Amino acid sequence: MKYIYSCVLLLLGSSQSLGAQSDLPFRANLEESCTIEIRSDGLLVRDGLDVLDSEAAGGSAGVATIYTTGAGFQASLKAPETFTTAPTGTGAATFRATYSSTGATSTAKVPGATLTSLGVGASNLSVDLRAVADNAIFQKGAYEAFVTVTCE
Amino acid sequence: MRKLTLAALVAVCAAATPASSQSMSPMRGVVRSFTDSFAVRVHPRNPYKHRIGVIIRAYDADFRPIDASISPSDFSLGAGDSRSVLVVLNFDGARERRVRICTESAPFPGKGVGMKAQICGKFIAYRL
Repeated sequence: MKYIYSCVLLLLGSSQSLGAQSDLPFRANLEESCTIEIRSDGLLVRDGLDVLDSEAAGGSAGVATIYTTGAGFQASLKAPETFTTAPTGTGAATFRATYSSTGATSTAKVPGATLTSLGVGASNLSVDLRAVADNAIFQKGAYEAFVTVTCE
Repeated sequence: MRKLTLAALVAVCAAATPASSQSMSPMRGVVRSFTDSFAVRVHPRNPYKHRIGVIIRAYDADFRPIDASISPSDFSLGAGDSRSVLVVLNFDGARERRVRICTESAPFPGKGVGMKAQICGKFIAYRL
């Protein structure tokens, strides 16, 4: 009789093992990366005859978001050396770029060349540009200059 | 020259980290090469929902432009796309070289954004 019980228990055990659960793994191995998203243009407005400034009344800062997936990255700006678009006859100008950051990285306004260590996540940079004409005034027309946002 | 490039390719395959679809990866790397040249493979990616122009440039540790064979160096990427780029550089007689390889956005004419993005990976190469 006890052999019959043993066989029944063995069969029950076998049928339970057929219905057992098994984990199916999903794996990922992500590299550290840096992504820059330019979210909006800056707008330069006149601040006197020889100055164009995004911080003057009516102007606006450019906004970029930097996404980092690891530590050790730094952000900085390169100010333009010349206008890429300007009315004919426009002379040289001196540019100054500044930025501040919120989000994963918090920093008050600093000069563009300042290297700021980025926190992991999304850092929102607010970028301002000021252009001062060298010994001249800015005449009417369209102007455009590019600030380079660097993540390294 | 083909042998040098092949050796550099083997070196980079053995030493560099495998890439994934990010805006640029890898961002750090160590390369070891038996020849006077070495190679780094990077993968720029377009995170936007529209096509962008991309330029790949090489700089030294002080951000001065340096000579490099970059293939391709100037191309466009569709939304969400990435592309493999091979950069071959010379040691110029040195035993060690620190370089930056940068992905730079190139605004299309008439679509100027006022800001350009520059993402730079830092790489150290050793000549064995």
